[in-house]
Amino acid sequence: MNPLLIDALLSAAVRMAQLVAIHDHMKAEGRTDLNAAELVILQGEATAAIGGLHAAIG
Amino acid sequence: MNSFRQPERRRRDGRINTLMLLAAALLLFVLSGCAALGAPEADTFNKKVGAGYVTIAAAADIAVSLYNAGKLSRDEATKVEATLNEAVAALGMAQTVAAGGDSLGASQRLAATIMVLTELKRYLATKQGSPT
Repeated sequence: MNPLLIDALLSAAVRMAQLVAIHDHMKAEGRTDLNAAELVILQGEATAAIGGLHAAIG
Repeated sequence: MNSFRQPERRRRDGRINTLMLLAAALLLFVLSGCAALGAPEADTFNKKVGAGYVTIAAAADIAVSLYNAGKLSRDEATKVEATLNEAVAALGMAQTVAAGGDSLGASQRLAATIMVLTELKRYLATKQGSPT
């Protein structure tokens, strides 16, 4: 098996899990919408992932 | 000698193709909003912005894998990075505009960003099966 493709699969699964976790937290607090703090977390994840791409390119 | 190896190579190629198909399907699934497995459906402005950030993160992950696999050149990867940075900035701008009370302007900015991310998703999907 190609380890790079496994990486891609794992990354996608992790992203999906993050989204589900934030959604569950939102529901646990009885909210129906994401709040500003949750958006900041997601923005940070996106920025970090882009940083990973930048580092890979070198 | 080579004829003995062909069935093994065919099986290996078949496994790789199956895995690539699975990866493409999962990418499509993640980038499409994950509604089928109970993940949040983006039915509000904030949820759409959140889904946009998740899409950006997933696209960056996939771009790294494609670059490391030699399916994305350095120039292409740099352009993908620039597009993703612009998308993050555009989502931030849409949030700022929404906070200022201009919901129509915010929705228009969000829609434009989602359109760019959709095109990027298609571009990365085409790169999964093609050498640079």
